Amino acid sequence: MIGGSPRLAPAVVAIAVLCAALAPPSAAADQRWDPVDPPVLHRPDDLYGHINGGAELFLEFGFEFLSILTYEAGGARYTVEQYQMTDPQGALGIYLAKCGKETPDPALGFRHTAGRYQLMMVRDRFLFVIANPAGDEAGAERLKLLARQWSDMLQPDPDRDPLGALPAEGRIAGSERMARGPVALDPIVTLGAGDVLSLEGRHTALIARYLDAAGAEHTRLQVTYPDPATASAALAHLATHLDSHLEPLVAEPIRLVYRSYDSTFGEASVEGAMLVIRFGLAEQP
Amino acid sequence: MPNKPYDSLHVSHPLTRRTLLRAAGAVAAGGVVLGSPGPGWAGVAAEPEIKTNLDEYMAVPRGPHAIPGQHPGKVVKVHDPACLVEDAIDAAAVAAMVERGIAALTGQDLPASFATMFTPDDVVGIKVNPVGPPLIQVHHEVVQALVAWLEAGGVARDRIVIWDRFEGMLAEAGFTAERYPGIRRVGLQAEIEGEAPFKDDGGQHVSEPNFDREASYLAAGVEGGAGGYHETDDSYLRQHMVKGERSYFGKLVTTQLTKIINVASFKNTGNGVSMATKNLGYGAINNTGRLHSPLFFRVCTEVCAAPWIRDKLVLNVLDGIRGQYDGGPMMNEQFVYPLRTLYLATDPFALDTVGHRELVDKRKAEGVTVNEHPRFTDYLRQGQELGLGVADPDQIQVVEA
Repeated sequence: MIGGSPRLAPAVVAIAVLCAALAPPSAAADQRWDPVDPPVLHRPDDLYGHINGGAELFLEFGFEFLSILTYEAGGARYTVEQYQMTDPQGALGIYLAKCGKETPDPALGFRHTAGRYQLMMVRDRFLFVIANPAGDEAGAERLKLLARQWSDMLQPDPDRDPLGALPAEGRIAGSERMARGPVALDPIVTLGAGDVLSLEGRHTALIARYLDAAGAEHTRLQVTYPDPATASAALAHLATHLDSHLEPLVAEPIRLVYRSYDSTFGEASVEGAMLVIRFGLAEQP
Repeated sequence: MPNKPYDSLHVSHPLTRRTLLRAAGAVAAGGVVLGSPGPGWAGVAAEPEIKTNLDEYMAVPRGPHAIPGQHPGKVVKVHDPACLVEDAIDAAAVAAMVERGIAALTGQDLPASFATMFTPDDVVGIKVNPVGPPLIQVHHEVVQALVAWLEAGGVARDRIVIWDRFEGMLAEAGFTAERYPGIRRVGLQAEIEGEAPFKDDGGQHVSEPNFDREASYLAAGVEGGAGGYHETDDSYLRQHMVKGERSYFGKLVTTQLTKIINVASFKNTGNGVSMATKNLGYGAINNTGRLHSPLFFRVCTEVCAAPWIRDKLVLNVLDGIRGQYDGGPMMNEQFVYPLRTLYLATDPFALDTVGHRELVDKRKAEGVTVNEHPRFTDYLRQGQELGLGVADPDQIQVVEA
């Protein structure tokens, strides 16, 4: 079914064009993708109906709408879930939360991870989850073909890598994550209830694990706010709403040190417009 | 560094805001810098506890089969490499695992085990988790083995009900009449997406008659309806059926079933687990959208404390033929792995405690960041405090069969 909301009309048109483009009349039979049924669309207010509680992460990162298309090719069906986010960082944030250890196909020139049942890719402000329910090898190859065709129709990825703002030295590859609110932060650390970092769904926290020279691991989280005053206010908010399982040891206007329930330590500080939090530290900073 | 690694399941005296304030004062008195960020520490008040109707549930005398059942704190693990070879599930191997598991749990053979939980007159609901086909949904081979056991004990097929909250998900996961002839398959709620009408002539959700207005879960002040991403009440009602501060139990659970077998998948939900208690906590009631943020895991405990669940739930099976250690509760192939293990317990809290521990270990082994904050396991300890199960790992007996 297709939602009838007027604000979805451009999306419906775009999807119809894309559907047609994936089934060119000249394509060989085994390359042809025949759309099955009209696309199913979900808006922010009914995403829960499709993925239940999983919707919260998408909504927090700036979800606009989801289109689900089903294709038939070679006698099998494949589904393409296209999540449109407000911006590329939102799409990347979702992807990083879900990709795990990426298993990409070197032949595909865009960021993705591919299995036999699912291929997940991120391009521009879109996250795609393409499914091969049969899980067969031939179908897995078709997932890649389908991904490439979709990718070819999208804008090139932005040149700037937002994760490049994280220090490179000691960073553990593959540990990078992003957050714009408590749902994305939850699996990583609990610093307080609700939006304790004042991210407001607008500011993006960049997160990665690091190894120091001695081999000890900790996690770094950094948020760049619009200006130093906002960053200082965010630290003050954190300090006054610090989780009850974190014991404050040092609290200054631009620096907070705490001991965690697991006997590790954390340090939050303001550096210009940036709030930097290091946690999981073995020693008190 | 601590001498012993931190284990969130062993937290017995979590710090409270009050103890922290004392600690902060002590630190200040000791001369460590304690500045004044914003309003200051003393201005922080503890968050108010959300009042639920848990006390009403607990005031109802417990039934003879009430959880934790006859084997509190006991979890049986049955592992068989032959049950899953590449993508193929061996139904005979799974059936044998179910048989071994039940026997090890009760200490009796299958007919005798049946008699400890059921009579042929029971109407038995098998609560499945259909989310995540084809890899991480509850596997049919497990459900079919349980059906065979019930039939062998004398329960007629028309007295067995496979159920979930959502009708469409059941069908999508293959719980069909063709696969389960003669057995009812009940989704408490129809999913009506897009712009299709979802109200009947009286203005109620078409699935409203499936829910019991006399049986509810109250979370005072936590109301469903317009707000957040729902611009209108109808937007919320389409998915959650009713608004307000009460969720209602399915009539199937409150008025038809006399016993429940709870079959859950071995998987995560965010940083916690979506296993036995969540399968029922969010599978038996409506109006759940309001509950996720403020009460997520507490719902798992408190809904299971309701007499309609507590007194009928006789067996929990955790389907770990495949597991998923991250990316749940939806299927995410990246994190699905062959576990080839079934877990059985009458005690859902012991089962979830064991599942949580094993999932955390798996996540760490795979390099996934794990947040072991106690709030992800507090609900299990709450279950123990209520006498609904055992969550202290030192009191749990894991038996390998």
